[in-house]
Amino acid sequence: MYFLGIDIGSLSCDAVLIDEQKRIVSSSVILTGAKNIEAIARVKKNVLSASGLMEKDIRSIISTGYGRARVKERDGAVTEITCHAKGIKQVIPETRILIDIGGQDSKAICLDVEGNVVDFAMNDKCAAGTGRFLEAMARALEVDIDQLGDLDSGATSNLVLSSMCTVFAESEVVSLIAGGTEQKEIAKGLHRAIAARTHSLVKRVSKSIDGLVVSMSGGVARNKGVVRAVAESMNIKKVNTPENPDIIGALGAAIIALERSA
Amino acid sequence: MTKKIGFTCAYTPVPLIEAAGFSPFRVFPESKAPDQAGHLLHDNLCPHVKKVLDRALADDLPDLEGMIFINSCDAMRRLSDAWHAARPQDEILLLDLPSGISSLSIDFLSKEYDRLAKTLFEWNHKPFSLEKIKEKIDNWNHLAAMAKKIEKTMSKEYFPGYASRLQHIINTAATDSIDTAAAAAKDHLHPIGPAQKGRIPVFIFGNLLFDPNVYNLFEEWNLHVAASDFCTSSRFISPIDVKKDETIFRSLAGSFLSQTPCARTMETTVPGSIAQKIVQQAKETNAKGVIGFTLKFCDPYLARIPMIRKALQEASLPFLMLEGDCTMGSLGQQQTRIEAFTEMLGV
Amino acid sequence: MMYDYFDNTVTGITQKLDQDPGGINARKKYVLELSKLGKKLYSKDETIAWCGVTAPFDLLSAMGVTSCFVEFVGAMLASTQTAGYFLEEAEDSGFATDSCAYHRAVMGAVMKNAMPEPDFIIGTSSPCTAGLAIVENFAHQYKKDFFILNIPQNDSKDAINFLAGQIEEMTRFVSDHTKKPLSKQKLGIALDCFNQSTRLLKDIYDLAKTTPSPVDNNLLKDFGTVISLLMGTRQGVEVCQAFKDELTHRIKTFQHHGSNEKIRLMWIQNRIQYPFPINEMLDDLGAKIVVDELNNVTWEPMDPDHPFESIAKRMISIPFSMSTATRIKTMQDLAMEYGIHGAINPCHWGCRQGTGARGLISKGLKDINVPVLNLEIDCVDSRNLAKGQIETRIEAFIEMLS
Repeated sequence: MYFLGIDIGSLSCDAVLIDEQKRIVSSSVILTGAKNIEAIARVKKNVLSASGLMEKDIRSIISTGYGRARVKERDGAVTEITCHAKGIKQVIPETRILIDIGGQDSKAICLDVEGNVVDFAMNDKCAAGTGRFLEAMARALEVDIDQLGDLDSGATSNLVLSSMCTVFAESEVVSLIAGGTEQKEIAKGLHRAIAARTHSLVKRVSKSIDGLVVSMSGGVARNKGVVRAVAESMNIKKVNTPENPDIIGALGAAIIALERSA
Repeated sequence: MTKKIGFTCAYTPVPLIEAAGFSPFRVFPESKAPDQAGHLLHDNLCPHVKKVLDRALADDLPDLEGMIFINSCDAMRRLSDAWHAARPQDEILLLDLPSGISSLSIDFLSKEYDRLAKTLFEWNHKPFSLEKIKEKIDNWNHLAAMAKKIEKTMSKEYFPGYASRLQHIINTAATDSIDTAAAAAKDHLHPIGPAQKGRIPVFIFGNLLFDPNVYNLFEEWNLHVAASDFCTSSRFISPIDVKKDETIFRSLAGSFLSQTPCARTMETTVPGSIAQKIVQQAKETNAKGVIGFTLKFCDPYLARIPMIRKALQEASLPFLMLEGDCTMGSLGQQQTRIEAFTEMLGV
Repeated sequence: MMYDYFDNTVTGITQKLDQDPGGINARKKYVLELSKLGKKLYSKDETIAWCGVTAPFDLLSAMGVTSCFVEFVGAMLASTQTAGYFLEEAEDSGFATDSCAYHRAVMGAVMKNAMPEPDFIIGTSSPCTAGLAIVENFAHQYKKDFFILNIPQNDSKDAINFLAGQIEEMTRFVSDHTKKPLSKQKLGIALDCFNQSTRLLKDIYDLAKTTPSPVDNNLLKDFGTVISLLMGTRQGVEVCQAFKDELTHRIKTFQHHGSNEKIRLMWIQNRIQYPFPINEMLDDLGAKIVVDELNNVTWEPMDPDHPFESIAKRMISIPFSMSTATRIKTMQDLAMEYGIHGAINPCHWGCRQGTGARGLISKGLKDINVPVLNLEIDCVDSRNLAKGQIETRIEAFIEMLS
């Protein structure tokens, strides 16, 4: 028996297939594009072909994300907040604060010791500090998005970007480059700016994080610079990141599919 | 066809409007009128005020004989200022509203309501009649009593569509007539069909939530609205306690100032009492959680939400705070949050 | 920390004034008296009341209460560039950034124990809803007794009687806390000082109307709002006298002729509180703020035989308390009296009562051919200040007026 979780977001569509022991059998991350129904079909096809399984092997499907109602074959739809909590509990079980920064939105989720959501805060009105923001900054710095994380290595200044609006931040970066500021300082500055914003979001769900394990999921968690900056901003030793931070939501959805089928 | 008097605030006594021979028309902030209010006032005002003004500027209103404004907050004050510019042809009256209850404030507000009553009768060229006012207050109280019964039924168990129909009745009282609303309330006293299990009971509060379809959406999202505290629901349909040893206007003033307040009205003896009131209301309905729906830029709620949040935390009541324009559009955007909250409460 | 700040300021200014005993130094004397007030607020020896902006400070002073409006502290935190720290504290506690930073900053100061604990709190419904809400928070936080003065929107007989009745009730509330009744004699002295100060204010404002004006862009900054804290006292009279003397002196010695006054401006509502080179900018551009909207006497002399009624009329007369139409009429009168070319309206972020009327005010002044520059700015929170954008707007406006 296998269980499928599909996370259909505005930027990416992710799917995770698990077995009865909650082990990931296969996963897929693709761009949603303009037609999310096609993306859903494609991501499902990807996980099936990667695992060598067939449609009939899937016992239950749970969908999540902004487009969760578009997954026609779903057995249920659960919000991404609950799914992310479920997913992170599976991979980093001691997590009490989960920060998820995706392509266009960010969330902070406070979990109890059992991994249940006790509070959450979302920012989905502004893309500042999200994947889109970092893409624009990478373009301005003329580097690949994958290189941005380590670009701040060796930075020593206290530079923090003052604009968080993607458009104005890009202008600010261009001005800094023209003024001779080194790439590493600019990268550090923008990582700090994202971290400060993220920290504010966390404070909305937990005024103090003393003694709490903090983890990060979502595509932005691949940026080690941001992860380090978030830890510094919160004055903690470490922010944990799972091996595949993009698929935590879909993993959580798959686990919920399993649990509901029991 | 009965002439209409427009109003925007729950502190407006509808019985006075009807006693003077008018029918009430609460101007809800619901319209496809373009955004123009920000130009006349400022963009960063509450969406309620802005959309009401947009309706005025786009002439998206029925024929009104006049408008009554209450000085309940700065935004409402500015709305009344702008109305003079937007619709100079309208008769307009602005009443002052004290911030809390005291002997002096009851006395003053009673004079304001007296002034309102006399003005309304003048606008309609009718002789002033205390008898008419008493009659309409009796009708109002009859409606309010039925509304309270419905609210009580709602709080105990979940009946599909019940909350939505109650909102429809309240809106009828605000935009049609007390009698029509009362007739609808009478038909609605007992729910159609049996109670259902499985929905999460919540207590909701805030500024306005006037569209009955909103309650249907909540039910789709697995919520049972056990009780609601809005100026378009229980705060609007409140009984008027007419006392024998005082004028009818004193009774009106006393009742309005002592009913469950919106955030702008305070108890000076217990500063911040709104927080405990919300906790108490939630507990009375055995709600598993509380959802606040407030208007963006609403200063009275902006200043009180921290203490409300703290009080709910201390009472171990999960709280979801949503800010928007209290329309269906804004709720659609908040669907994920509401569903996540329901999922959280359902564990 | 705050006590030391005020103490040091008092010491520093006193020394400077002692070095120049014949000098006029109006602004120094004004800042000295305000610093002394600040010192008293933080001294723990006084009966302290935190209040709304339009509270009757003269009456409270007569009753031996050291009082201040909370926004004064917000402004002070901004001027010392410490507001950001307190704003963050308030925001972390759930006070939304949509709210006015004057109030958010002081709330943060309360949470950081940087505000002197009051003995009681007196809120006023004017100028704004948010101001009243924040002092309720004070009362809730400090668990102190709370009194509200509801200020009606019009000056009808009922309205004045209502407010007068509340003011009288307030004196009983205060007496319950101070254990001292209101002294008619002290009240008489306070009202007499108030009337003297009022006459001097009228003189000051009349002198400011001269062309070219003897004021500079800083001299009467926020004066009308803040002087109310001192107006029932001897010190208030002395400060007002000093300003009158300063302006008279400038006119006599033709100092104002040296000023680069090509454009005469009205500043609407309150100034930008943190260091921002607006005065220097305007000086360079040949523009001068000859009048602030709130530097205006709108009340009749106080009648010691009917003190509560007088004070009530005064409180209602302040343009914030009334409709925007009344406020606009007042501004139009000021514009004509001072011969202004343009007005700057700092549309302070989060201000519903003042900034909420932005469009109506622009239209009202445009009707008498006075252009208005609406600056979307936060007058207390400089964290998101787009300095270049604001400077460009001011420059463009002055160029347009030139």
